[in-house]
Amino acid sequence: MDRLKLTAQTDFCSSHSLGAPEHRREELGEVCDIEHGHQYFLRASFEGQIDPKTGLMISRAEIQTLLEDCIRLPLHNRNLNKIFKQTSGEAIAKWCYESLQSKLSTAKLTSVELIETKKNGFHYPAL
Amino acid sequence: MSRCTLSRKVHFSCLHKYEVDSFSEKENIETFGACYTKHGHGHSYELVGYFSGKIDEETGMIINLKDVDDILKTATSELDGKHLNFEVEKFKTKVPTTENLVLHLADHILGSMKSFPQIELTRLRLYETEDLWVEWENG
Repeated sequence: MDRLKLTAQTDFCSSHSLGAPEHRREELGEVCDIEHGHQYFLRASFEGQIDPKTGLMISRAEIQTLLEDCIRLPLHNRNLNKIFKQTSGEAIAKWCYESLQSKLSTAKLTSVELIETKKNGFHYPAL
Repeated sequence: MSRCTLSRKVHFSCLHKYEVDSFSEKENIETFGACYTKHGHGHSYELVGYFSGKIDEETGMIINLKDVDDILKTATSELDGKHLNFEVEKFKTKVPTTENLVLHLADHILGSMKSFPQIELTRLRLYETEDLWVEWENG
């Protein structure tokens, strides 16, 4: 049985500052608590059956709309701290997964990968 | 004996048209979005093949890289420079989506692998653009 996974990527530029909760400052130290920005890349991976008529696992129009409506519109050029309580890569990846999941109609969203920098990324759910 | 997976990348370019003849224009737009274009459009595809096998004690390799290139290039040369909907038999009746294209390449490469029984094709990843790709796993 062939297994296929389709991945589509979008990007968004946002600013945020992290920071440890007051009562854990000693334990965690400084956690990027200066405001800064990233060009994030969000990769969404889908699994599903290929429609024999269209040859598609998921409609390209649906992918374009999903990524625009669920990811870029709410996050691009925004200060994430004004939207979310937590703005860690882990928290944003989870939010992106849930945002896409809530709007998806045909294929199954298997995971997202949020690339924060060239050196770090976040998979949700965990691998 | 240690096993290892080798990956190798090849490029090819072709044209395709996303359209279902029996659909109205509205249905085609709803299904294919910006990919639905009157005369089709082209991509520079990138295919990455993943091959697994035992490391040969004498050569330190699982397979000669030249053989891997031959396998991948034989599969993609049939598509390279073509308008898939008009020039490749299978895609005259089947929409040449990235999903269908990777399945077609998997069939072709699995056929070539019969000459290399010590190696298994474990995965193919086909990039249509840097923002969209489909991965096939040998299951």
